[in-house]
Amino acid sequence: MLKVFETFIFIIVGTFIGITVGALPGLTATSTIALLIPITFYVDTIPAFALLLAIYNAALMAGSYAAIIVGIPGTPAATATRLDGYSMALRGKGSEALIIATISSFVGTCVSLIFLFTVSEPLARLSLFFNSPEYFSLALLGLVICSGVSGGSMVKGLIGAFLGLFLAAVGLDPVGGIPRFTFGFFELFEGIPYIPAMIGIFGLGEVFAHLSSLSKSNNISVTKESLGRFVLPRWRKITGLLPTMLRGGLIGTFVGMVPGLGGNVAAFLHYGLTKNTSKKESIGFGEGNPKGVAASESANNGVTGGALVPLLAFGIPGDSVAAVLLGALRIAGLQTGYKLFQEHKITLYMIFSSLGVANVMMLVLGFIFIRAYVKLLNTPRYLLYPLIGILCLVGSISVRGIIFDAIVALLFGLLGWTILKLKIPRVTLVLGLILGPMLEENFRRSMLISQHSPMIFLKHPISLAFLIASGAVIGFSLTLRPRASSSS
Amino acid sequence: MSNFITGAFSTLFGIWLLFQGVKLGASAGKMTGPGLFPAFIGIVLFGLGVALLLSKETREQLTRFRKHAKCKLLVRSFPPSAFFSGLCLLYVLVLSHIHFIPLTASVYFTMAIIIAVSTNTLSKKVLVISGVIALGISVGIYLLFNMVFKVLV
Repeated sequence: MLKVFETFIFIIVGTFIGITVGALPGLTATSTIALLIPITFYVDTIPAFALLLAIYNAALMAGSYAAIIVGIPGTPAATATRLDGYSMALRGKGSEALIIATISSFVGTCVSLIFLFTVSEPLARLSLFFNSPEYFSLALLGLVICSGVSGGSMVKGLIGAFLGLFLAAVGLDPVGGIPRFTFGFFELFEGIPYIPAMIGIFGLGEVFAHLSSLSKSNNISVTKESLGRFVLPRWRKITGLLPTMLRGGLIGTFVGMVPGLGGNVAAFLHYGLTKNTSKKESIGFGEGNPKGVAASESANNGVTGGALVPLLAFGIPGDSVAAVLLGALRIAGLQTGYKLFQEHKITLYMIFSSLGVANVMMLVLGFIFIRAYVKLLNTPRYLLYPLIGILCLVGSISVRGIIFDAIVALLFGLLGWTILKLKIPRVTLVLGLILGPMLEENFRRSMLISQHSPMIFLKHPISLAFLIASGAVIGFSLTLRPRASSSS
Repeated sequence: MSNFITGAFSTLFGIWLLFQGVKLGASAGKMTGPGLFPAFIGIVLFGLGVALLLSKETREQLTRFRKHAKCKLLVRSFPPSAFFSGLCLLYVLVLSHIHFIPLTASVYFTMAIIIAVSTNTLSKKVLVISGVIALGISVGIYLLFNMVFKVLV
């Protein structure tokens, strides 16, 4: 009973943190979750994951606050929401747009939760047919898909992924125990410390990017006019939007399952689909149509459950938050795959349920504190970003208590900022870093079994299918994308 | 220019990694050696780097760069990046020698001032608030590390 109460408190705290993080432009769920991973050392698994998932879910929803009220998306996933949400705010219907966004996010997460409960275990059962070659090919496919779809150039995505693989190779060789690329630092013998690296890439990298691109226009002020009167939309209006929300949840879930896509792609995909399939209305899309807000918000929250499905079934994260959560799972001693469902079934379903409770809390707290959170947007930047920077340093050092980890976080912060400037998708680098050990171990094990013959990857049918799929993704990305960009 | 820089870096880094992989040993008897995987990554990075350098997009970027004499722009945009990187690396170097807490407080204060100057909001009030928070953070971190995490820094 006490544990349930503890979990509930963590869910409330997580929802508050998540809404705060999502509402403030520049802060993302990924950086906050990376920052809070050390909590898994001090708290039980269920409350710890309840906190992290509550943050994830609430931040995705609250990203719409800034997008609607001031036209600056709080999170990348809220970019599509801006199109109609901001137009609604300019017409004095900001509060209505915020309420629609909150309800749509709630529905989107509900749909994805149904999938999480029903699909993840049968999918995980498939992993029973997997051996080393299959795991190697699957990890490779995950990296290739992520590089191909995470935005920008495919080649740059792959460069990011292979840089991540290199970083994962730092430390003692998993077979012979020979140090690699440690440059004499014994702190690196266990490999690059995962949490400081995540905090650096997503947290400090973000802070550096903001510090280097600040201007007078970064000062935001929220006006009463844009919010309008706080009146709940009519029930008929909400039910009229329900089919859009449900479809958004479905699309978000499927998009979430594909590594590297994330909420932004889901939101734009469903927004475009809704726009193209809707009848002509008095208020067009992009001019303040509530359907546009419902479409993008339901889809970007649908990603939450979807991204967890491949993560739990195969250890392949669906997006950057799921990648960070994979680290948290490892710290908690939970190995992904069907074994996880066999050995920790209750824990796992308790975690899923906690996401459901967090979703309800998001709806309740979102409604109650909507105006207070919008006022958060007035927080001066000179207070906010240095505080995040310092929290990142404290978070990185809190795990092992050595200064070396703060140095790692800073260096990865610089790396995160640099690759952001070079337009290399950060999620591919992180995925490479995470999947590196799985790739190398299974590659070497396969080579050992086959006595140095790479044909083993082609002899196993599932592995061959994954390799063909990887080739197809590369082929499609290289041939179709240039045509698409030139035609657009 | 981002394509050219990424391509050049990937190519050079790939070559370095390939040499390091070979040095570590690609095979050890019947087992695969510790250098095999890094060497494989090196080859792929080299290939990707060359592909990026030779791509049409990179060539177009370079042509545009030359045409608009963006060298000057690059030089002008370099100081802020160099300044932040330098500051960060300096912090990394000093961090190992000076106590974490006072340094953290000073970094907070410096960052707050940089932002206030950049956004044109620097005032006495900002200075006082930033100073108080920096001090508060020092005490907060000290208590957090000594009482909660029980780690001495």
